[in-house]
This record gives sequence, structure tokens and C-alpha cells, in this order.
Amino acid sequence: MLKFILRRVLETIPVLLCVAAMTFFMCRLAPGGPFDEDKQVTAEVRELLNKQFNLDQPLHKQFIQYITHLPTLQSFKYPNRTVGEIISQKFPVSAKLGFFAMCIALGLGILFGVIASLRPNTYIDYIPSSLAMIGICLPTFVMGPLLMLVFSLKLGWFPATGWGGFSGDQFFASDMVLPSVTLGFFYAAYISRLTRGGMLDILTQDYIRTAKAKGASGLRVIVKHSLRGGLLPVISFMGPAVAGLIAGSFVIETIFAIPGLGQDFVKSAFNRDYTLVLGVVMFYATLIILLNLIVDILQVTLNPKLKFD
Amino acid sequence: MTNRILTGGAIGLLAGVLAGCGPGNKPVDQGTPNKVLNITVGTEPEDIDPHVVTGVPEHHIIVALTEGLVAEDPVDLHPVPGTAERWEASDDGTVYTFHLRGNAKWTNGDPVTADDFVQSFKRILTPALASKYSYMLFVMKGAEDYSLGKLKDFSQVGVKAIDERTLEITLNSPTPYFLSLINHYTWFPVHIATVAKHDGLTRRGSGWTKPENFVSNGAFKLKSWKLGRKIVVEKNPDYWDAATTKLDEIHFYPIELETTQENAFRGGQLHNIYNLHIDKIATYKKEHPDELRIKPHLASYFYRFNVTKKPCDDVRVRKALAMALDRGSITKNVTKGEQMPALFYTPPGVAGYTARARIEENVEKARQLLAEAGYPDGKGFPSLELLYNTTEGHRIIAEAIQQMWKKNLNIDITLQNQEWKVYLDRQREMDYQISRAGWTGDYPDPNTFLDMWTSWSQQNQTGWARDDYDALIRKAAVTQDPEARLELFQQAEEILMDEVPILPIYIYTRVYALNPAVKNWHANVLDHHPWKHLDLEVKADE
Amino acid sequence: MNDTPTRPDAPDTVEKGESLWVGAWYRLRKNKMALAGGVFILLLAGLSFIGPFFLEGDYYTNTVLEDKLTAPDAEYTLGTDHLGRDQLGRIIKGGQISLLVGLVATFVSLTIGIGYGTISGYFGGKIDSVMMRIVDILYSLPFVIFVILLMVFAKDLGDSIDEWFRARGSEFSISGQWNMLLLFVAIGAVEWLTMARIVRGQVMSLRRQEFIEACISLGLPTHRILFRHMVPNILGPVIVYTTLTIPAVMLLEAFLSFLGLGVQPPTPSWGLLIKDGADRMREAWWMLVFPGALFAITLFSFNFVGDGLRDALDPKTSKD
Repeated sequence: MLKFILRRVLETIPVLLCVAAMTFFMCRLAPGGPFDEDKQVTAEVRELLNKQFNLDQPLHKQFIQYITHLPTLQSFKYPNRTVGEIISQKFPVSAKLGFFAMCIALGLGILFGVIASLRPNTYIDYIPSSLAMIGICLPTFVMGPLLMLVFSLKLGWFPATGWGGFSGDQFFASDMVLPSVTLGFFYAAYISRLTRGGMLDILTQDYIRTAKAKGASGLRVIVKHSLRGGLLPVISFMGPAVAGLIAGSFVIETIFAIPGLGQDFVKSAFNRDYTLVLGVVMFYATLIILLNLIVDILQVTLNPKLKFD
Repeated sequence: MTNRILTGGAIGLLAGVLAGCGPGNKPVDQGTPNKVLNITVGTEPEDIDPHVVTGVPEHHIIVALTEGLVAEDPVDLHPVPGTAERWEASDDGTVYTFHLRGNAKWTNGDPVTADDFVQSFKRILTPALASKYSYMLFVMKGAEDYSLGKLKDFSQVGVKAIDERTLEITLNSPTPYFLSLINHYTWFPVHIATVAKHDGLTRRGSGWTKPENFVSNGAFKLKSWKLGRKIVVEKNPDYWDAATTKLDEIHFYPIELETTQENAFRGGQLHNIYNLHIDKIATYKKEHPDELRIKPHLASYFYRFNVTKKPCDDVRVRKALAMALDRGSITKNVTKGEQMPALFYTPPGVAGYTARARIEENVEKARQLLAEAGYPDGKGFPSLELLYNTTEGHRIIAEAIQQMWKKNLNIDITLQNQEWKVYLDRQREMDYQISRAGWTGDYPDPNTFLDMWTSWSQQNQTGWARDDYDALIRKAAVTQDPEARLELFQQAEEILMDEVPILPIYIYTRVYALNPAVKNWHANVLDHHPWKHLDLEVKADE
Repeated sequence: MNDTPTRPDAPDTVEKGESLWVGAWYRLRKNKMALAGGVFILLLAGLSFIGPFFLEGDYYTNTVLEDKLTAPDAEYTLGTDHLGRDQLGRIIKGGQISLLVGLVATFVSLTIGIGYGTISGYFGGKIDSVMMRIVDILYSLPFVIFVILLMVFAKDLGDSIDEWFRARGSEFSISGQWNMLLLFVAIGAVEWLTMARIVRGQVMSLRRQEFIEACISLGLPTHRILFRHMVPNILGPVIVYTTLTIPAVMLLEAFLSFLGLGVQPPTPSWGLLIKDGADRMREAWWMLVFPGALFAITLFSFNFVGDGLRDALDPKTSKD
């Protein structure tokens, strides 16, 4: 296994370089620059601005400077912050949001999925499945405001916006509930579906019938024999799920005014903030590749039929 | 395995919920009695360095922290003493002498001197800094040349520190609106020693504006800035007018989405909604009339015509398009913010100027003009694309206008929305046929609107230029007599409305909501609300 | 079926090609929810695609500003929107557009994804490494940037194509539909990645099963193994994931509309309608409830149908 990991790490480097190059050049190809705005300036000022931010240098030189100094580069839109500062201050918020959302998603999703798989095509299947499906049938920008309307504005149980309480530093705060639930519900739907599917695959297999015939209790059958295999599709889904959480958090963060990185991820593209775009992309790329590696390792450990090759 | 995580998470969330729940915990309920204002001014500011920013959110925060030579009267914005306690103008109106007050201090204890202003003007005009707004200082002698690098010696520029507390500014020509102009943050001083210490004299983002470094001279000082979360400013006890300042702290929250602002407002987290969604106006009028504010704003909403491209190169086509609209219907049914339908360009109500020129809304005449131009009943009319930046509001106005032209002139236009940067790019490159535009006045004088359409203005972007128009604007810049000056502007506007290189649609209003606990908030066309005058009053029945 | 004891994980359907589908249809008919879902989708498709022929040309764009934001009443069955347009017409057209986006983009992603994933998973080794690394690269690209660039750049391509046709005297104009085509490509080009990964995972585990090894040792040509034996056996998860993809695509279109990069007004899509409705939740509930409910029910239906198909196609579930 060690060799596998090592090889993957070595493979990652050209991948990251590729990602950096593609992002860098895509940004430059798009029309519009970081300093354009409503009140137009003279060509001279534009030139001087470009010079201040090294945009007048040949592209390959800029590229090398970007990838070697990425965390210390200034953001074009917020020159007082470096890319590293912005990511290190905002990512923990998004990470926490994603983590809570994933907890809710896993909890609800696996629960609903397992229940539904016990008696397929009966009400015991339809009701949890339908409940879970609400998450993928309502866009987050509808569910969020709806939850906010009911639980925050009408009932007053939770604050409407914000993250981390009034000071912003509380570890657990009531304003974290609604955003996490909104984001998590979306994934709960997928997870319940995949769990149900995976469980059904396993539950109908002969070795399960054998366990049942041997007298193993229903719960034991589920947990000991089925869950492991039934969760396989869920695990392979986690990789893309986390990637999706990252993009999906943009909507949640905008609606609930959460100071996370998801908002920057999208806004930096609109702002043509080249350095921040590259920083966020590389950060997420590394994260996703790492996660994929973990997912692949998990898949092999849980499914003895697969091997590292 | 998952069970434990789930239980742990559930307990944690529950604890957090219980901790955070409870009445009276809301920021507004706590803030009002403690003189803490919770406010949003829209997006996160790029910086609070007055020499490198250009936006409105930045303005609101900068004016809390920094003060210029003059300040604004909270009711009608006329210039009142700020850092300068009095001033004189020469007879020909080209030399102003400001006398700074003795107790004006920076937050680190240094006195504010005339040289601070000289150095600050020098910084914003320094070519290497590449300030985008430096043109605001070009009324000063030599300023433009210095900023272009044509003049290398700053002592030749028209600003001198006669002594520690006397500042003399020399202008190119008598500028009647000068005192209002210097109220703009581009004329504000910065603490040069601090800027220099962080090597920020000729570059952005040196870090001198970070809370631990920032030195300013205004009614409030910077307490903290948590990126994306909020900026907190607190009362500056050393400010010369600290006795007037009633608020203890102001918390600025960066919230972009209107609906989020509204939710935060209704949830008791904010004292204001910066922009109220237009479709909510009717509800607010009915249910929260004491919170709703609809006020005229010194800004114009219009469309630019690219007069170098067909079919808008023909003035008859432009006039036909301009006349075939029912602006009243747009402001009543589409924008619904009590905006004023604009049959002229310059918003009225500043410097005593209300435009005489009018566009006539007349569908018959419009049809005739279109026929004269060679497209009777819209036949053969070439493809016409209306460019606008991606915003809900612009879209529905564009759709309404598209319908009107279809109905009245029988022509089909296509709508193209582009995201902001692309839209700006296309306008600048003149890669458009009609483009949606807006302009907010920088200072309360018609010049800020009318000098855009000269042949030398960067803001023009229509390809239209007329010698007589240029001449009128140039002459107005040197005319001292206010009556004569306004007459020149009237003539210029008449040319503008006759040639219609731009299609005025309406004059903006600011539509927002304000918690009635906020006092001394006076509405004015610039939407400036000097923070040091604001107060928070707990309602009698609370 | 078969009486001889089989190994627990060896499907016995390989040689029974025909009866798999016949049996599947039989099982599907027994699933009431799937049938209900399927019927609903057919009705919806009919209403969306055929219905407009009976309506006036501007049924979804007719702006009557004075009637804006009216609640459902005799004249406007489902109310009007903020520009006074009849919601009923908008929802029908929106259904057309959203279904179109859903189906076409999913089809694009399906084709690419299955092909890619099968090849990668089957051949394994170096080929798999390289192919999956490419997927990793594409996955890490910020989707939004990719779509923005695509929507912006390729926009000019539409105009160029038009010019090419005009130069040859043809009246053919693609630029009107270009935005829609771009949308299909952009969304399809992102969704296939997940499909490829899932297919590859399935193929990799299938490949190690004895019946495939048997095929190889029998000397069957690769393409025959792939298409005759592999593909039918991965259909189950693929179909389930496809029915997850269609609503995902429709949601993605809604997200793009939220950013202003989706379908362009005045053409409605359910994503756009729902977004407009969510903004005015308290002022005009009908703008959210009707398109939202229809959207949700459609997605529910796709899911139930997909489930039903999955259960029907997988003979193992029928053993109980």
C-alpha cells in the first residue's frame, strides 16, 4: 500500500501543474481585467496599474512567479490581503460548514437509506425515500430562505444570518444550524439513495440469506454483514460530494452571509482576481486529489475484490 | 462509528442552539441601548485607503474614519468646517487658503498639519501609485501634468503649506463647486509617516490600513476588520468634535444580496437594509411604513448608443427609440421605486439646476422618424442588441423596453447580459450597439454629469463628440457667475437631448429601510450620512 | 430461473439476453410509484412539447405591466409574475426548456462517461492511471470559471458561424440557440466525470469476476466482451446514476440561472422561475409554489422511475 500512496503522490505533481497552467491561462483568455470598473480611467493609468501588479511581464514569467509564490501573492481585489491570508482565514469556516453539513447528510442519509432498503417497494421504502428526496428536488436557494423564513423569522429559534455568533468566534453557535441543514439535506438525499441501492444489492445476496437462515438477528445482519458492503457506493460518492460541497457552499454562504471561501471561489472569477482564483483553485485541487486518494484507499480496504494496482 | 459522530454532532448543535437562543440576544436589541450601530453598506470594501479606492461602500467607511479640509452639514450637505476651521477664497476664485484648527489630531497623537495635506495630494497624484480616481484633483494647478509624469517637481503643483496650519490651494480656473468637491475622499489626508513606514507610498496593499497599523483623523477609529465578517469602528475620543459623536461603535457588515440584507434586518441583526428589493416596496408601504425610505438620488439610469455602428449611427433612429418609450410606465410598474422618469439627463436639485431640455415621448413621431430613416413600420430594421450587466433589475427594465419597442415601432431587439467585467470591457472597447449604463454624481454640481460627453472624457464611450458641446463645457468650467454658468449647462444639455447619443430613462431613487431607532439620519441626494451626527434612541415602549 | 447452485456473486443473466428485458418489464409494471412517475413524465413532456401548439405565440413573453404580481384568479390561473406575464404559460415553456436541458446534457454526459469509464476500468494499469488522472485534473478545475469562459468565448463563435452561413447566402442562424447549445455542452462536460468514475469502479470490480475471465480465456474479442457482457451488467448502477443526473443537471441549470449564466430571459426555465419566486416568497407565493412544486414532482418522478428500473433490471432483488 505504501508504494501505492507514494506513486500517487508523485503523480499528483504534474496534475497540479497542469491544473495551475490551465487555470492561469483560462483566466487570462477571458475578456475583462481585474481593474476594470464603472468609472473609466485613461490608458496610462491602466498601464501603470498593470505595472504595479506585474501584469506587464511576459506570461511565462508571471506563471512561474505565481506558482512559486502563491500563498504570498496579493489579491488583486483586496490588495491588503495575501492569497494565503484569505484562504487561511476563510477556509476553516467553509470546512466547518461542510463538516456539519456532511454529518447531517450522513446521519440522515444512511438512516433513511437503510430503513428504505429493508422492505423495498412498500411504504417503509417510499416514505423515507421521499423525505430524503426533498433535498435534491428543491434547490438550496429555495430551501435556505424557506427554512430561514419558518425557523428564524417566524419562530425565532435561530438567527437569520451570520456564522459563529455575534463575535464571530463561537465554536458552536445557533446560526450554524440552518445553513448546515440546508446544505446537508442536499447530500442526505444522494446518500440515502446510494445507501438504499447498495444495501439492496447486498441484502439480496445469498450470503445474507445464509446469515438470516443461521438465525442472525435483523440488526446484526444489517450492521455486521451488509453495511460494510452496502456503504461502498456511498464511499465512492464522497469524493465528488466534497467537491460539490465546495461549489454548493457558495449559494449557502451568500444567502446566510457566511464568511467562507465558497463565496470567494466564485466571486474571484467574476472579479478577474487572478491571484486569488489561482490560489483557491490550487487549494481545492490539492484537497480534492487528497480526498480521492483516501477514498480509493478506503474502497480497496472495504472491498477485498479490489486491489491496488 | 457513524453513530458516535452523529450523536456528538447532535449534542454539540443542541448546545449551540441553547446557547444562542433566547430573546434579547439579537444584535439590534443589544446595540440600540448601547449606541452600537449594526449596518450594512453592501459589499466588502477593497480597502480603506482613500487614495486607491473608488467605490461607494468604501466611501461610507472611509468618511467614518477620516476627515478632510471641510465636512458636510448633515441636512443639506453644504460645506462646514472640518479639519479646517475657516477659509478664504481670492477674488478671482482661483486661490483658496485654509486655516487648520489647532486641536486636529491623528489617532496616534500627532497634530494634523498642512504638510500632511500636501504630502497626501502628492501621493494620490504620483504616477506610480496609479490611482484610478486621481482625476478628481485635476482642478488643481499642475495636478494633471504631475499625474501624467509631465511635471516632475511637485513643488510646482498648486498646493503649498504656508505654515504648519495654513494650506494654500491654487486652481486652474475658478471652480464654483470646489468646496463641495474637496468633500470627496480623494482629497482626504493620510498619515504619510505610517504609509511610508509600510512602504505604501507608491503601491497598494502595503498593509498600512490594517487595524494594528492604521492611523486616521476622523470621528471614529478602526477597531477590527474580520475579512468577510465585519469591520468595527469605535468612537475616537481625541477627535476635535468628539462631543458631537454620539455612537460608541459602528459594525459594518458586508452583505451583498438584497434578500439576505432584508432577512438580517427582519431578524433583528441589522439596523438597515441597504437596498430594498423593488418587489417588496408595496409590502413595506403597507406593513412597515416607518422603516421604508424612498429618496431621490443624484444618479441617472440611461442607455448608451454606439453612434459609430449601425443602426444607431443615424440620429433619427436614436430619436425614434428615445421617443417610443413610456418612461412613466417603467417607473410605475417595473422599477416601482418612485423614480423620476427622465426626459433629460442631469438629475435636478443640485446647484439650482433643472434642465430645460426635454425628450418628447411621442409614438407617432417616433414611427415617422423611423420611416424617414428607412425602416417604415420596422421593416428591414437591422439586428440590434441591448447589452446590460447581469442584474435582475436591469433585466426586467430591458425586457420592458424590448416589449415597448416591439409594440410601438414593430422592431425586435435582442437582449444580451454579460457579467460585470465583460460588460465593462465591451463598453470600453465600444463593442456594443446599445448598452445599459448608470452614473452617480461625484459632487453636487451639473458638471459631474455633463462633462462626461465631451470628446476628452474617458467616461464617454459612445463615439459621439461635438465641438459646440465641448466648447460649452470648457467655458462653463471658467465662468464664475453662477447664472451664466447654469445657462451654459442648459445649452449643452439641449444639444445632448437633441442628438441623443444617450437615452435617459430615469433618475434614481435610493430605496432602503432604516430602523426608526436611528436618529439624525437626513436624506439627501448624495445619500451621505455623516456618522458623527447619528444617534440611537430606544423606543419609549421597549 | 436456474436450479443449479451458483456462486453467490455470479450473475446468471449473461446468456439470457432477451428474457432479462422481458422480465424487467414485468417487474417494472408491478412497481406502482415508478409507473406513476413514468406516466407523469410522459404527461409533462406532452404538455410541454405539444401543448404550445395550441397556445398563442407569445404565451410566455407577453408582458402586461399593469397586471404584475396578481394572485391566481379567473383570468390568470396561476397568477402573474413581476412583469405581468402569465405564470401558466411560463411554467409550460419552462418545463420544455428544463426537460430539454436535463435530457440532452445527461445524454451527453452518459455517452462520454460510459465510454470513458468502461475503457479505463477494463484495461486498468497504465491506461487507467492516465485516464483517471485526466479526470482528476478536470475535476479540480473551478467549474464556474470553466462555464463563464465557455459562455463568454464561445458566444462569439455563434456569431461567426452565422456569418459563415450568411456569406454563402443561407438564412440559417444558429446564434439564437447558441446559448442553449453551450449550456448543454458546459453542463454535460462537467457531469460525465462522475459518471466515468462510477462506471470505472463498477467495471473494475466486474472485471475480476469469473465470467469475464472466462470470456477472455475463450478468446472473445475485446469489443464483444465490453459491449455484450460488460455494459449490460453495469447498466443497473448506470441507470440509477442517470436518474440522479437528470435532476442534478436541472438543479445545475438553476444554479447557473442564479448566477445569470443559464438560460437567458425572456426564455424561462424552471430554475429561473424558481429563483424569481424564491426572491418574492413572501410577496408572491404563487411564483414559487407552482413552478417549485412542479419541479419537485418531476424530479421525484425521475427518481421513482429510475429506482423502478433499477429494481426491475437487477434479478437479484426479485429473489425475495
